[in-house]
Amino acid sequence: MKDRTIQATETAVLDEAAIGRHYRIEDCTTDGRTRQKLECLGVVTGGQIEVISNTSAGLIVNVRNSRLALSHELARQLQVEES
Amino acid sequence: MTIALIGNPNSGKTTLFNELTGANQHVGNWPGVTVEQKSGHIRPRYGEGEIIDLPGIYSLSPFSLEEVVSRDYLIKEKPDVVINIVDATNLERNLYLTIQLIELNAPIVVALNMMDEVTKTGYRINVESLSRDLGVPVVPISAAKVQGIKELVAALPEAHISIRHMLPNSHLEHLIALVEVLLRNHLEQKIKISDYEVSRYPLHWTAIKVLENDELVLHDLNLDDITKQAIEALMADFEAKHGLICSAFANARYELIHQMIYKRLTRWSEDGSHYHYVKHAPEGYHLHTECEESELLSPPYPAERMSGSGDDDDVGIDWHGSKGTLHNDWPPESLFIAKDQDSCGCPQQDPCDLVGLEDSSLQKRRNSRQCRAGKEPSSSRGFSQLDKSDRLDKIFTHRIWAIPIFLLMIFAIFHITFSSSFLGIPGVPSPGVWLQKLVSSGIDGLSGLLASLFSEGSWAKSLVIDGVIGGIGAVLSFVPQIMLLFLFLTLLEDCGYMSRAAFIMDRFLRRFGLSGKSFLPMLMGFGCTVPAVMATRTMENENERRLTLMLVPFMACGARTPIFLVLAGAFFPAYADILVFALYLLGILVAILSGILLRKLIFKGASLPFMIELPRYRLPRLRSVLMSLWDKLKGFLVRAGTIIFVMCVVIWVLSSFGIADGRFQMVDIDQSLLAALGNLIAPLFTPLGFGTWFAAVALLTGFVTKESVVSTLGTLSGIGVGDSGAVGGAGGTGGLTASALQGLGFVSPVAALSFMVFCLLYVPCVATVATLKKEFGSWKWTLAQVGYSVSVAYVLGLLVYQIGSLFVA
Repeated sequence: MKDRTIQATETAVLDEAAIGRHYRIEDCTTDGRTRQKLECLGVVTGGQIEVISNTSAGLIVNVRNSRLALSHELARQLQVEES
Repeated sequence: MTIALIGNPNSGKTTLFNELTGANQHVGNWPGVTVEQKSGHIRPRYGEGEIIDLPGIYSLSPFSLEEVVSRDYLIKEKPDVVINIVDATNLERNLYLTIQLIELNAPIVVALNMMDEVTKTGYRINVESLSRDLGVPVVPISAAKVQGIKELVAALPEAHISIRHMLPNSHLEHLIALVEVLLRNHLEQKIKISDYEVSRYPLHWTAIKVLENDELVLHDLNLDDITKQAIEALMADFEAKHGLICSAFANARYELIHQMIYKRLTRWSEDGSHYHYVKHAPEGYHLHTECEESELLSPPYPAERMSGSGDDDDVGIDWHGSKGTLHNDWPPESLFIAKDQDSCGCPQQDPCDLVGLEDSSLQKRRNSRQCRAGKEPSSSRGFSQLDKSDRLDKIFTHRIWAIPIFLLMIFAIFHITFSSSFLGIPGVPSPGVWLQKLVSSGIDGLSGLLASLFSEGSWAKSLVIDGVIGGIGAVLSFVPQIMLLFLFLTLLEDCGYMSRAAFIMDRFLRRFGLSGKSFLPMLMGFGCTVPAVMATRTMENENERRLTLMLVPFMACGARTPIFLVLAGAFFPAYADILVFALYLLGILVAILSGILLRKLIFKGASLPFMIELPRYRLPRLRSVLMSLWDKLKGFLVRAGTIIFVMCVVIWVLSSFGIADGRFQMVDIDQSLLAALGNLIAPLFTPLGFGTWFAAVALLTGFVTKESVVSTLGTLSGIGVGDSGAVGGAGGTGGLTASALQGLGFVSPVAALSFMVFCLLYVPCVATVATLKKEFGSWKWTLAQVGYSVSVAYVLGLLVYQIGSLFVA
């Protein structure tokens, strides 16, 4: 039971990820074009991502040492797992 | 020698281009598209050659027009050299484009920019071995500090096509090889092999693009069904086993880059005796390191520098040798342990060892190593250290303060540019207004000087003074304000704030079918529509850019304000300020509603979810700011000298000539062709309450400049606002009273209101139309905008007059 709870908190959508922690991108459920644009900016499945801030405007993330701003809509389509 | 310059946005490409070419630049458009093409000759001090500045892009996949343009240029024009400018502080992401350029068989020289900033963090990049790995010359430079440029130019002849890099994913490489075979067969069977020139498009690149489902390449290839099915079967098989192909490519490329960087980045050990390797420079981490900048920036990088920690050859990393193996097999674990222990003895002593973003396999490896060393793997440590830029973002993208700060900044900009009571002191003009007055009086002076050269009453005098100087002068007098507005916006853009502004406004604008990126152009529209239209250039989504171009003219520009002030002052003296404010709001409302409507009807298609790179904040560079301003000014002056000039002459001819006494001759304005034209269209405006030729003519001249509406009304009412009225904007309109205006056909206050609404919304001025044409890249869209705005103006004017009359009557 306890294990399952931990399991459940480990994977999350990026929008709910904790600030300052490092995550591994597990899945990207956006349409192909958006996914490809993300990939060009360094957001690839298996890659690392860190949330720098999360406000009503959206998220600022650290990906490959560059900063990206993403909308909440987009951040909800990225599955991450804490690493 | 033709040289193409390519690189990510914010990699310092423009700075390098400006440095290489100086003032020898030509700005034009790429054939057939609105993407701007800049080219120029290399300055003699550096050598010679023609440089083409390709758009700033992240990849060569054809998502945006800019990427397609760049790729087409590289493939079809085959430049002799491609300078790939790479931001050394952001190597991993920037090299993604480099890898794609290598895939495309482009002859590359990598300009490793911002090396001075890398130095500041205490890190070094082993340029020589990076060059060896990439298989192309790499020259460290600092475009901003003008370092290494000569060396870069000297290295250009050494540019060559790199050997193709095996992607560290054997399944993928296998798939590429199979597709290559299929494609070769397909192409050999084809009789018309010229349809797809193998020599121009490298086969392996074609194979990769086919696998990436690149529509443009697939179209060019025109595959037969058998080949297509075979490839599709292969792809389906791969995706079933290993996931999406596109993602696999992206992953493999990043993995490749990762492998290169991991051993390229070194830093001094604590005692300064040797280097050791680190993964990625954690920003804001300062080491007690003295690196001479000149040393770093003098290629070739001294190899003995590396001897402290062993040259990478000693270490024996040869990822070329590991081609075809799964990325999980790389690098050998022993390498990491050995290196860490060799170079800094113990990881615990080194607070920044191996910090940075890592792929999962490395991360896991590292964690396991750390565990073995008796240390808990920590995920909240290391690269999350915020740098200066992040700290600024805490302020500028603050959840509460972001928008107030933004609005304050914009207010300050507008205040400095447009306010006639600077800092709230009445009578003290702001720098913008002061400059405008200066230019106006200059033009007035010129006008007076020229007037003395012509004999009194001659048509030539009238043409030059009233037509040309009056018309162009009115436009030119706004140039200082436009330039000032642009100066501020360029500064904001250059320091990196603009992408933050787009970010914080995005959510709000999405509701109206726009996005964060369209906010600034809309806002600038309150100042002057011309720079606002030009500012849409930064928008990448063409659909959204067109929509923004359609809407920007509805923002009440500064030149429309005098119309409101005069009419509101005459008919509604008690409520003038409220009314003017309400008109501004009406403009916004119309833009918002039009946005929703046009998005539904014409600019369909889901907008891309918002994502934008937030470049590091940096101080704006005076040189590039001034050059960009000069570009804009030049463009504006060219338009003033061409299309606006022609329009002014046309309007002057129409207003000065007419048929009198049975022959075509110079006449007073009320007998002119313009009056005739006014009479012709005046009935159209009867339902709007101002169906007289006076009003119609005022509107027609308002097409030249919006200020002309007031000066025309003044002239026609015989009070003699005069020619300078057009130049001075609102100046000299005090004589226009309600009764005088009633004499011109404004039968009631409601009619005046209707006229104001019409003026707010109808056709933008000539300068705007000319700029719209440039930005739309076609007359079709430009005319669509003009047609749409006139229709909206007409309908709303009609509604105001008809409904208003009910109440007044």
